[in-house]
Amino acid sequence: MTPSPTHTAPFWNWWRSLAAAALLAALHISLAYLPDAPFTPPMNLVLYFTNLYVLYCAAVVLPGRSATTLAMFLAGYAGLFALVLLALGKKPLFILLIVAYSSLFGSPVLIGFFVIFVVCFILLQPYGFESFVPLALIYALLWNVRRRASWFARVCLGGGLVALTAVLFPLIHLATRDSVQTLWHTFQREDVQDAVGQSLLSSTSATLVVALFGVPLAYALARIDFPGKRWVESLVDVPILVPQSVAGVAFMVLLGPGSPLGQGLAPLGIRVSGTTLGIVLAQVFVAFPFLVKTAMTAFEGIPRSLERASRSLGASPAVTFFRVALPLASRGILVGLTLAWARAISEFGCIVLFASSPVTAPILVHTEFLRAGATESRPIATLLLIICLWIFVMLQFGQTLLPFAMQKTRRETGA
Amino acid sequence: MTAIEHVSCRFGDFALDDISLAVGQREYWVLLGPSGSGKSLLLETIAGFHTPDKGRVLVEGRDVTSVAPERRGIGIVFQHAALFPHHTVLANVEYGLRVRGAPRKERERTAEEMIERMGLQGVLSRPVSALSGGEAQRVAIARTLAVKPSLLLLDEPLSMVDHGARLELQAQLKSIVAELGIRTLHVTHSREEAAALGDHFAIILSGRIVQKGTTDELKSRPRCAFVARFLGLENTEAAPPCEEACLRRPGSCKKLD
Repeated sequence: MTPSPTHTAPFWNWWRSLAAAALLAALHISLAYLPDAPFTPPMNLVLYFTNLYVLYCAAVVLPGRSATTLAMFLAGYAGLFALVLLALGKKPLFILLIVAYSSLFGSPVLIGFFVIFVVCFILLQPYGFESFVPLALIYALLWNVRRRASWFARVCLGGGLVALTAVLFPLIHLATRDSVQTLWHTFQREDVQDAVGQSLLSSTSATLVVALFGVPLAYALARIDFPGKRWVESLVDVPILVPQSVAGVAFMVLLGPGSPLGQGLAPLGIRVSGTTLGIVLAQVFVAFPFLVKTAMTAFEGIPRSLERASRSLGASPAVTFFRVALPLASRGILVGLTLAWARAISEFGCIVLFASSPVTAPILVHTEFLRAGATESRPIATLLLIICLWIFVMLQFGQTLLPFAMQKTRRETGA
Repeated sequence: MTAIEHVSCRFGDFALDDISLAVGQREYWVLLGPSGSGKSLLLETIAGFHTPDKGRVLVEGRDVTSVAPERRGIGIVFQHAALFPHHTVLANVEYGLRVRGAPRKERERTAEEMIERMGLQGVLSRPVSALSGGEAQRVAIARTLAVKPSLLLLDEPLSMVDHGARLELQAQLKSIVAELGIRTLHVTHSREEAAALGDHFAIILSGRIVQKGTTDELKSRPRCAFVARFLGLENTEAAPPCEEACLRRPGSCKKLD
């Protein structure tokens, strides 16, 4: 009688388990009689019981699994053994890790986190914490999409996110350096508060200015075809292309104290260089492409027939803009404004040349760095990072609260 | 008089060549032609989204050729309903009256009437994005008729509607247009739709009108074999062979053989 393929003899049974335990005992006893014993007898005993627990877990988890799983289990054990016991020689740590390893092996999710934990906190020290958090999040994400995406897409996603983490790692590392107390003390310094306030004020004003002229420009570029339109679109990109120091010099030449325009404005009580006005000007210059590009895409996404329907129903072009185009593009415009605001508050190169007073936060970080070095300027940098991220994340979140998005309804309303 | 007179227009790959058409009181014209014949361009020109190079557009005797679309008194319904996704169904129907500054009482009364006529009571609370093709098109028709245009343009209004709903919508459209006595110009490439709705046909090919007249005229005396075939007549042999005028544009006539 041939055994049916669905009912094979169990991989583990009680006498095999006993034999394995006895074999393990023999191994540990022989270890104790080696010329220079690697473990003290109590440690050897503890290790023996640990290995017994590993055997027990294997007996629970492995039956019915493929040979690959068994090989992976043994490879994991060997890896931990080689890394923690042979290379580092940390016996208690090995015991703790191996117990966790054999307990978690049955669950693919948890064993993944365990591997990341070991890699981050043992191999990547002293960057354990800041590497563990993003990598664990990436793993959780990949686990989450495992049924929705092909293996290739998941490899692309995982590889891309790990690379992104590596690129952003300086910031992640910076954010974990200082204690909350240090940050709080730094935040209460008057010069820091002034600089942060100045930054928020000028970048918000710059964003409003950008909105006032960027949204109409974006609408026009999205709706009117004219010869040379591509060149105008490229002109919009110029501030992204030009080095900020070049822009700073250009502003200085046009509006600086010695320039004709600067001297002409001085009697009117208007000073541009070295004032909030100058900062706002520089920020508008660097920020507006981000709004114009995003808003243009948003306006282009609105089917022309919607605006035509509005016109034929009796709405003038202006009414159509405010009742149809603007509401439907509002999410895209808000994304653009967020980007523009972020670009404005992060501007340094142009401002440092053209309007370095009143001091904005990036300028303060720079002067602190020149005065006292990286360690001294670190809390201010961290603080600025946290404030920018906080507002950025809040604005991103705000966009999701808008009641509609054109993308979702384009299918039904037509091209 | 509501008419277009000698309209010529060029837009991208499409061109209209000396098109004249007069839509009389209570007439339902169907503009029938294959894809790419310039039907939609003609409607857009009449509605005011393109300025014709030559010719004029008259609405009830008023020359509106250079009048902005919102002041022409022409309603247009698009192939994709083009409903405003950020408004409710009710707000869509009320839109025209709202932007014209109609008082609330009148707005509500008209919207209610249109909703009832188009049988939209059931979908009022639904978001626009959740409407089916037929429902969306009914809302679009109600929205357009709510402002009482003196000429109704329909740009392939039934092509995105699935078959069952299409017959129902066709009947609804026919009855409401007849009831309101509104002049209608309906563009389509489907002769079943044309036969079911129109009392006047204009056959358009490559931006020019090949033949126009009442349904009976066209069916009894098709001008050429192309018209006869396009109308699906049985005895295409009886029709005169295609004329030089109809053949002049390269490829247009022969392609349909």
